[in-house]
Amino acid sequence: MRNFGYLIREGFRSVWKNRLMAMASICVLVACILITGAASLAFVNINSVFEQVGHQNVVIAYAQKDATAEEVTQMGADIQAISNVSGVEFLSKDDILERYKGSFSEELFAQLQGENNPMQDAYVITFYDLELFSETLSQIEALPQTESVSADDGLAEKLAQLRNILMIAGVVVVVLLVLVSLFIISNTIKLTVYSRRLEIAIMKAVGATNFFIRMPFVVEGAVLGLASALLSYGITWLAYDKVLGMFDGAVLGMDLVAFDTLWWIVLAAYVIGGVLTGVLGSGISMGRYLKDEGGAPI
Amino acid sequence: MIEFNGVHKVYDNGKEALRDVNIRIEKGEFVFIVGESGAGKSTFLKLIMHEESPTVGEVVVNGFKLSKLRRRHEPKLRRTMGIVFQDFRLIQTMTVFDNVAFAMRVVGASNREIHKRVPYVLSLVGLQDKMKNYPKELSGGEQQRVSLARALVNNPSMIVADEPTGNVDPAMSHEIMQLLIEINRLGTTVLVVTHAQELVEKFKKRTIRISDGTVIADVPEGGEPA
Ligand SMILES: Nc1ncnc2c1ncn2[C@@H]1O[C@H](COP(=O)(O)OP(=O)(O)OP(=O)(O)O)[C@@H](O)[C@H]1O
Ligand SMILES: [Mg+2]
Repeated sequence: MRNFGYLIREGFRSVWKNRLMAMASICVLVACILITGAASLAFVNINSVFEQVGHQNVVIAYAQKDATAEEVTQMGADIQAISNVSGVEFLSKDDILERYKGSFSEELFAQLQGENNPMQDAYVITFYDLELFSETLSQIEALPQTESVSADDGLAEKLAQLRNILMIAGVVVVVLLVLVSLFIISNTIKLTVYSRRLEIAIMKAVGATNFFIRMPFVVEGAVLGLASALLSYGITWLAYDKVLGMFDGAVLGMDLVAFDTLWWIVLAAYVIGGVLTGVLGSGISMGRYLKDEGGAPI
Repeated sequence: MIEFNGVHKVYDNGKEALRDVNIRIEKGEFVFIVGESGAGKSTFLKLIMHEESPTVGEVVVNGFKLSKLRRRHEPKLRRTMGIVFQDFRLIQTMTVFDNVAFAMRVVGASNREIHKRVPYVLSLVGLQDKMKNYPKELSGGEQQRVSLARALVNNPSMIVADEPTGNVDPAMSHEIMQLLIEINRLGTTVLVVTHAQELVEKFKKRTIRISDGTVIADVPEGGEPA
């Protein structure tokens, strides 16, 4: 495509020529991206905190007192086989006794060793999906070697529900903002299209294809989207560290997610989102224009 | 080659702009189209450019049956013709060079071809010294010639000009007409709408006279104007 360089230059030229309008739409786009980004980042952190809470909220399954070593091993394998179980850690009764060493006098502790150990072998279990908490719990309880299960079930499930509500609200907000951004971009491009009506008519008169006519506008939209994305990224970066600092990096004693682990996802999401919105927005208004105005050269 | 077969054109507002037009213009002809204001001359050209479609009848241009022309093939038709606009239609933010080069970029010419061809065509219309100027720095006649250069630059097989001498003094209109005749001599079909009776009389080319939507005279080359 020998025209490519020319068409891309034309797109940039158009942004510069309409720089006031471009600036205005970049501002609106940045606002949309920032709100979307803030909502998403808040969600990431809430999710992370919930996850940590959920994982601290471990489940312990005790084996039957008279279970043989094989049976206890089998129980571990059975638990592992449940699809919602993310981790199983064996806790022998000796280990458990060891934990309570301080609570006993030394003679008593010595007497309780071996055969006389009153503790039971147990498994410390974590789940993937806290929403299936009670379901998975009863699966473990149903295993033949299980004597009892200790867990604080209410909290985990409530957290999972709360997270879902937040997620739905977040998706609704993001969809609305994407629509607003598309509207803004397509209107900006519509203005530049109308300011270049004559140019387009002349292009058509000399036999330009719709691709040729559309390309500079698509580039213009992409440039607006990219500029907004980069600007938003800078702002997000600065603001995120500030907000994290305000919370001292933790909420409810749970660590918040550091920007270091998020930066490239944020950057990629902003750039892809911004450029796509730009391209789509200009595509919409150009498509409509070319259809309405038809092929009129004079 | 242009063919009008039983063409009627009625605009949406009910105005009957053309009535039963049957015309054949061969490849390589030079044709004046004359008639009073509102006679239907521009409508005639618009049907050729496929900007308007006939209400009844068929128009064939350079092998394209226009009633069957798809929107996406329109650029192909337009590339067979160079259009000169009465009001120049130059892009104010581009230099003279770029205004003409623009028409070549549209059809995918390379930068090398553009830099060879544009100065040549501008020299044909006597504007080789104004290449770097902007349209607003040119006189009306000069702008008209840029518009003509743009129509010529892709070497179309047909030139369609709606009053190309409308804004120029008599000497300049004579010069422009001379250029069109020269281009026609090299094999290009040329259609010129004009109000300038003295040019029509002087050059004695085929002349189609339209009045109130009807072709009332079609005088062949060298013949006496009706
Ligand atoms: N788009 C349109 N819609 C409705 N009526 C139109 C349209 N274009 C032209 N007409 C009418 O059709 C008639 C012929 O118009 P046309 O432009 O072809 O005239 P013309 O011969 O080019 O005149 P002029 O010499 O003034 O340019 C006129 O009465 C005009 O008002
Ligand atoms: Mg006219």
